Amino acid sequence: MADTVTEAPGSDSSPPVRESRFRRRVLIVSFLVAILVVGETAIDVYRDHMRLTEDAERDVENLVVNLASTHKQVFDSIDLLFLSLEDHLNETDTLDAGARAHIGRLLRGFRSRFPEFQSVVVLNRDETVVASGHRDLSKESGFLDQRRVKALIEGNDLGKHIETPVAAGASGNLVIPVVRAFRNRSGQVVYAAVVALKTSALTGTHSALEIGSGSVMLLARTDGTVLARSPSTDIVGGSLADRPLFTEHISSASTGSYTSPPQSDGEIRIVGYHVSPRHELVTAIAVDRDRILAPWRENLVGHIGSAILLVLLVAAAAWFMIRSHDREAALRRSAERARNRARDRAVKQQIMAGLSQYSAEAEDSQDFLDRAARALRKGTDCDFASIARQVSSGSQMMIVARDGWPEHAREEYVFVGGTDSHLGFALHSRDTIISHDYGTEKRFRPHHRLVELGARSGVAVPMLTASGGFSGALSVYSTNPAAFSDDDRMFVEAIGHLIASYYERRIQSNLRSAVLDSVPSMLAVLDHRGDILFVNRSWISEGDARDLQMPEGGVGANYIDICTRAAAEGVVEAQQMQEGILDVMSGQTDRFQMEYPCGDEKEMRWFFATVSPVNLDGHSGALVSHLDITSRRELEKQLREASRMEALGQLTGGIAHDFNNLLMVVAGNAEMLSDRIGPETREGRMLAAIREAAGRGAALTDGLLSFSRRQLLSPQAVEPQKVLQDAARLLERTLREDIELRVETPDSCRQILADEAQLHTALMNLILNARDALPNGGTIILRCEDLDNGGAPVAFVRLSVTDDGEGMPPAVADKAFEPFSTTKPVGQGTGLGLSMVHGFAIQSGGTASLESKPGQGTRVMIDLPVATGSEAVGNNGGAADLDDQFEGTILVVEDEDRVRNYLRLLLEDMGLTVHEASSAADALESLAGLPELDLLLSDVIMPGSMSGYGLASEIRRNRPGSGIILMSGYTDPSMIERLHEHDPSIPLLRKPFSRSQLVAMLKTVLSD
Amino acid sequence: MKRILLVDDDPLVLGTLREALDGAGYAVATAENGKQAMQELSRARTDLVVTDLIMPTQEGVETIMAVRKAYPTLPIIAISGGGRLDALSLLDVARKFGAAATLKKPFPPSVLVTLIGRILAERRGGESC
Repeated sequence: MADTVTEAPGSDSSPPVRESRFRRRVLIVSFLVAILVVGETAIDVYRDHMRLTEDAERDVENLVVNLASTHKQVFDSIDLLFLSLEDHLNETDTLDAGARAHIGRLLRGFRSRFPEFQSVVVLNRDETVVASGHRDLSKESGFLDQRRVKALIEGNDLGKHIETPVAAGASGNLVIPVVRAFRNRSGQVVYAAVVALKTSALTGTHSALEIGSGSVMLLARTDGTVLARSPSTDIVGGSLADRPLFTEHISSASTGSYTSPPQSDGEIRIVGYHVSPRHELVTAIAVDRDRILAPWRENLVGHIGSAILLVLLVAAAAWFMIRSHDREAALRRSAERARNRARDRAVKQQIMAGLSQYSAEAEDSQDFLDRAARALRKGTDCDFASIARQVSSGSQMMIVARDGWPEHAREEYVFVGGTDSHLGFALHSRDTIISHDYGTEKRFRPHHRLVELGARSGVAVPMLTASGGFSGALSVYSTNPAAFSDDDRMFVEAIGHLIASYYERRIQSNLRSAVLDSVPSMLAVLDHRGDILFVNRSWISEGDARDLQMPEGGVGANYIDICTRAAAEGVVEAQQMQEGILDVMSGQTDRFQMEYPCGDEKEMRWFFATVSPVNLDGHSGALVSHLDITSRRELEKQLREASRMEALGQLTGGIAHDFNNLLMVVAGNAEMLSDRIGPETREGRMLAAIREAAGRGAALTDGLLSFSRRQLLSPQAVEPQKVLQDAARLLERTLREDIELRVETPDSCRQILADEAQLHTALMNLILNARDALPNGGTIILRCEDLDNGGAPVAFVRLSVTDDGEGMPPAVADKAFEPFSTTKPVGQGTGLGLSMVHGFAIQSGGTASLESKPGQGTRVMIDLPVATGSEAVGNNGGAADLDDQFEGTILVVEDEDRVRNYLRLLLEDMGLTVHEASSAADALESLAGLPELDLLLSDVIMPGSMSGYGLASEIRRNRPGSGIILMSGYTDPSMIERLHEHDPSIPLLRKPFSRSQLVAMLKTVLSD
Repeated sequence: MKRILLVDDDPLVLGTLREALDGAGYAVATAENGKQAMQELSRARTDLVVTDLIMPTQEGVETIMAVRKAYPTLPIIAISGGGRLDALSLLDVARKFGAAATLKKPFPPSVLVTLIGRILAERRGGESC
């Protein structure tokens, strides 16, 4: 969990928090600066606006006051005129001509002084012009509203009236009529003066003021009636009484200015006004605000442009700051990450190294797994870690070690493979599986127990090892999602490898121990100093079993020292061994080997020692091995003897044959000569000597032949006690009186299978040998005993002849069974006695052996096979087994009556119909009278010209459905095989055979 | 004159026995192996065969069987000095295969002569019956 690890309490805020705070600050500052810039600009703009507006209002106000004053002068001059007329017209009922003329002059003078006046007239009640500024009176009246004048006159109104402008005369120019009535003394209106003021006189001033186009000048009565307007005259005569100027402003101040709300044309205007109370006139000037604000507007673009520029600059600065800060922060973060990662890796490596070291020495695998689970949790900084092992059945896993699990959740879980758990899925997929969020995991269902414990993410690594190793899965879990990095995954996998190699090593170590302990050799590994580093079980048990000089010592002892001590005690082999070890270690020789005896004469054992070089971490060591070869040497000795005997047998057989031929010639010719010469002559006696010598030679060859085991034996069940007693009885009298012959037999000894006559001869030979070994008297003991066969298929009975005579030295004893080997002086014995005994024993399926020690006596033993009770055909044995029953007709061909009769009884007992014949010819004859034949049981060697094989081929030809079994008493198979009629496909029973062998053969053949 | 066929691989034995039988008044033919013996038998009528049992080319036992097959009534005397099997065993086999008598080497020539005489006399007696 290197990269996303949360900071420990007390440390600075994490980089992202710091970064966002910085960013916020920069943004806030930038925003404030921008606001400031915008605000400042706005204020400037507003001030400009206000200043311009106020200036405009002030200007308009000043202007209007000026304009109003000119207007006032105009109307003041009208008042002056009216005042000067009062002297003539007030309290006058009629005007005389002079008055008229005077008034006329007055008016003309007035008009000439004030060109603004279109006309000036005085009317009487009849509305007749009585005086005018013009000479032509008719021109004066065109603009007058007669009724208005009349109303004025009749209304007796003496005030000045400024009338609504009217178009005057042919020019159509607008004029404002100003009327004043005059009363006579009775108070009656008699005359009225009317001044027609040219509106152009009023507007002309305005035009001259050069306020600029767009400004409007208005002259109105205080009741809202428009008297003049510049530039347009559209609304002249109309009323603006409902306008704010009239409804609000003129009533509050006589002079003022204001900004009017948007007009119908959408224009906002700055209006300045001045009220002339005396004339009840309002002069107003309206200036188009847009026009006023035109320079402001021009400035505004500049202001806004610079504001935008400034804001942009601030934004850019902020952006650069944030960006560079971000970069710095990113660099800082990646450096921090790298530092964390390095720290995390160092921790992982340390944990891994610790576990690895422990794995090399861990004896207890559970302890190792527990440590591995702890290492998993610490190394990945996770919440729980577990190690599960595949149950032998294969589809399930069981947690065998865990760390970080709460106490209540520590029961053993069994995880089923496949998609039922994270572990199981990993094992099923044969790949590491990282789940960043169990909540959204689709590939498998996390184990409910983990979900209960709040696990959110995990890593599971399968372990797949060869049989016998650790198969299962490792897993780490976190209560945070996405808590595991690639480093964590690799760490878990590395722990997996460590566990796998630990188990592999254990298996190898167990295997090595098993292999080394199963080796029968005693093995020890020595270091370069000769200290014993390792011994195998054979070494230990040998050391325990015996207090041997060599090998001895256990791990830690110095073997070279042991050898040195033994050598000092005079053990020659120890000296050789020590030298051999040193030679091997120094590299002088590749291997040292030696056979040596060990123990006393009572129990002499032989060992085969080897010393081989061993490389121990660069030092030269040695592997010392001692193998007990006592039995091998014994076997080798026996084999050597057997081979020698066999070779001797072959040799003697050949010699005997040739020698008999020679004797035949010698003795035969001697006899024939003797017949011719006569026995009583000197030559006859010489020939007799020759014949006697030939006779002795013939006896020798007989002996040789019996050694070479070429006798025809008739083995049968024999009671050994009886044979021993017979032999003793027979020889008792021939023994000297100083020799005691004893028969020591147990109450029961098992029957043996042997040729009784030959056994008898052999025993006699042995007893006579014993007698000869007792020149000064002694005891000869005949014994028989059952030998323990140790579960072997054939059991033996041992017959022995023991004397307490001179004995033989080992060299002589070793060769005692060889022909012509004798201790007797020349002429006293043939040296064939023991060799005949040996030949007999071997041919009977047994062995002959001899123990002898000089001065202590000799014991000769013949081990013969036990008779199983039913094997001997021609014997009394053979208990009927009623289970084996057959049906059919059988022809038994056997020349020996005894055997044939026995076979007949045996076969009839098995339910067969038996016919007999004593030869092949006899058999063919009786076959003619037999309608059916199921089986032929025939001897191979029979009197007559036809052997069993010849008979068999006849039967095959004539009776193809019949089964055939042949039997033979000849132990030498080549005898049978050399017959030219021999057919190996015909089953052959070797005599003697047991009833069960016969039954088995019958079953085979009859079932075919 | 009765004709006797002597079969033996040893010329010395053949010579000795021929000498004895000549002396006893028999016509003697010799063969050194079974094959020669069969040729000799086919060449002239023979009254008796004396054969050794160990011979290089054809074992004596087989010779006996061959002779018995070709000349069922011809008496055979088997002689043997032993060898691979001891003499007695071989002679036993020979007897079973039809040898009228057996002799174990070495034997005095007179015994053979006597034996032949007895067998031929029996044969004659048998024939006369």
